[in-house]
Amino acid sequence: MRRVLILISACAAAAPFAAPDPALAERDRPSLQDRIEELQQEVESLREDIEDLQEPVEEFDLFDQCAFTIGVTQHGTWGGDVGYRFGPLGQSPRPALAMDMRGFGRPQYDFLAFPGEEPPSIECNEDAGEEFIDTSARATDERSLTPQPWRSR
Amino acid sequence: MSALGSRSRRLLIAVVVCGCGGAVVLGAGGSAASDVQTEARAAGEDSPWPRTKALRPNLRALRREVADLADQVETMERSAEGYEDWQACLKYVPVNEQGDRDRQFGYLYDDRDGTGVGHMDGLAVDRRRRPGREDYLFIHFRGAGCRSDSPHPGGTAEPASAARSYRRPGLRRQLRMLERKAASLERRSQRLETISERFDEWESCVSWVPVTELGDPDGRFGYLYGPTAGPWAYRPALHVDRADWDDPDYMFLALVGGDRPGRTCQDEPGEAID
Repeated sequence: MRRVLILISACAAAAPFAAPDPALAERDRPSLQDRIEELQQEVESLREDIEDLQEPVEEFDLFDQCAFTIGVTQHGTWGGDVGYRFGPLGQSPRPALAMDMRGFGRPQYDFLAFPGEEPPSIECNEDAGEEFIDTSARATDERSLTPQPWRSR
Repeated sequence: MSALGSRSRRLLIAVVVCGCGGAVVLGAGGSAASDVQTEARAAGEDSPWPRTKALRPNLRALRREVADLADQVETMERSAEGYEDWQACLKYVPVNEQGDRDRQFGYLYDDRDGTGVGHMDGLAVDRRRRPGREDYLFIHFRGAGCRSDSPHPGGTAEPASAARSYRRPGLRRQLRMLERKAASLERRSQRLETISERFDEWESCVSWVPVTELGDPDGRFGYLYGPTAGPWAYRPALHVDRADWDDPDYMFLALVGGDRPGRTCQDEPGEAID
């Protein structure tokens, strides 16, 4: 009887090492399973959040494709002797802004602008990727005539 | 002894029978669990998850999903970081209209078409008024050199574990890594949301100012420019173009009439001024 009891004990003790224990696997699996299901739910919710972000983020790109800078310089000074003639007889010179897209010097300002024809949300990015060429050309310098795409500045 | 031996034998048989029964029961239980695992998930057709509860296929699907989301987030981050870069480069310049719109008063201007010298309005950078009282804040992009590379969210370094070992980690470790990646994606998407809200707030406060240059860059006609007492020349200058008959040269972006993103914005988003 004692030998039988020892045998049973030994078998019981050796059982976990002798073969994969389904009970142990079952005990482990639910926690992994639960975590996976939880993560799947999180990922689904994350996907929705990220899809919701697509449109707002496209606004950056639209802006990026449509905006460029225009070189502008102010000529004349406030309170100075030289400037644009202002007043009834032009006796008081004042400064004023003018385009500065010619020559090699840098303009004082690079103002953000969009093409004058239409608001950017409509069709300014129709030709996205193509270089914007100012066809209203008053100046002759091709480099200056090409307002710089916003990102390339 | 024989009675004891007989009892022992019966006990041994009982143990074996119980063991077999247990094995059968456990086996059946295992089989039942397996059935549960292969049970089809009640999921929509576009569900990315496999129709099994087996761990490995589900982990594989999770890896694919997380990688796909990471790609999307990375693409959006490039746009958002571009915006943040140039937003940091903007400087607001106060500009006022000089002269009146009816051309009764202002700069001297001559079209040299026989009508003689008249008055014309124009635009000038004008810091004489108090902040918020200017007609416009034109938006000057300070150009290259002002931007500093913003740090890559989460850092640019690869996880150290990736460099240490190329062996696929165990399921638990894989899952832990995916959980971390998902948490990181969550943070990154929240950051994107914050940036897009900031952009929306800024953009909805910006107005389009129709601007045209009047006068000839070659000096044949235009605004009179020169010293008070001395010879003058014709020069071009900018003015706000309210004419209905032609498009302006450009729409300058500006904050109009004291508008400030995040505080007061009078106009609808992207509205052109009258």
